[in-house]
This record gives sequence, structure tokens and C-alpha cells, in this order.
Amino acid sequence: MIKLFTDNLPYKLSEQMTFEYNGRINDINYFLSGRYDYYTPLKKDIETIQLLLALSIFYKRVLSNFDSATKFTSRIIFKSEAESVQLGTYDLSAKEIFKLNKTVLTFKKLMEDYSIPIGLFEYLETKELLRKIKVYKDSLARETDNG
Amino acid sequence: MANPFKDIKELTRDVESYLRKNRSAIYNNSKRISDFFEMACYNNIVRFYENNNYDVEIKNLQKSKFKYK
Repeated sequence: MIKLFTDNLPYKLSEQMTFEYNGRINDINYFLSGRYDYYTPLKKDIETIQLLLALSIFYKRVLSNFDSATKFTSRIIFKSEAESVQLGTYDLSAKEIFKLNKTVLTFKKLMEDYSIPIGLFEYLETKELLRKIKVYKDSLARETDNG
Repeated sequence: MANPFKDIKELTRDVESYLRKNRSAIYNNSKRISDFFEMACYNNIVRFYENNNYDVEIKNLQKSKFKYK
């Protein structure tokens, strides 16, 4: 699943993301193997879990850094006379920031359209992600039952 | 409302479409990920000082540019 995201990325970053994905997917398979009753109901949603994991890695390793660059450059441009931020030979101007910001906002909008909270992507251990997915799925099921 | 558990195919298709449309912006800027990460740290340091009642000003611009590196 991660290949979907890494195909358009530079080799080094793509390798790091693939390594992280493979490590975490092994953990997920272990938790869903039937040893833990709490996670067993998620077994049939493995495809969704794989996609959520890949989305979270993409968000944390790529988009959150774009977001930081946007915030930093906006701070400089709007609080001073500066027209751009120089990064070696590259100029990060308001126009570039607009494009970067659009990439981040479009992603957030897509997540919103599918009721995926960005908070789901904030975790350190894989177990934490899986627990969040379980709580999230249960809350969606409750909403459907009530609605 | 759509959700990833029941609309996985649609979500996958929309993610693919998002990645296709933003391919060049994502690829070009991914080469600067380390710089962007440093910016996040820099931003947090500035925020720390501001939260502790310091006034942070931007100085020494060069030709209307903030020279990061």
C-alpha cells in the first residue's frame, strides 16, 4: 500500500517510509493474528488499516514538514519586509508557500470527506495507532446505529 | 457520510487522484524535507520565546530575503 505514496518521492525518503511501513505492518499482523481479543474484530478491515497506516506515514514524514515550512515562511513574510526565504539557491516565496499550503489543505479536506480525524495519525507505537483505529471504528459504528 | 471502513475503494481512488494532481509539488518539495523539518524546530524556538514574553524581531534581511542557509 505504501508504494502508492512512495512512487513519486525521492529515493532516500521513499526507502525510509517503506522501512517504517514494513516494520509497522508486521506489528499489525501480529496484533491481528488472534492473540488479542480486543483487536480481533479489526482483522476483516486489514485493507483499510493498511491504507490508514500508509496515509499516516505520508502525513507525518511529508505533509507535516510542508506545513512547518508554510508556517515558518508565512511568519517571516508577514512579519517583516522580506519577500522570500532563501534556502541555498532556492527561494521560498509567498507563491511557493501558497502551492505547498494547497497540497496540505487538499489532503486535510480529503480526510474530512471520509471522516478521518488527523489526530489518528499522531502516535509513536504501532499499538497506539491500532488502538486509535479500533476506537475510531467503534465511534463510526455508534454514529451509524444512532443515525 | 463516507468512511474508510465501508468506502475503501472510493477512498483509495481519491487518494490516487490526489497524489496524481499534486505529484510535482510533492516530489519537488520532498527534496527539501530536512530543511523544512529544521524550520519546524526554528519556529518552535521562536514560539517558546514569544510565549515567555520576549519580542522576537526579524533582522538583517539581504535584498528583501531572509537567508535561511
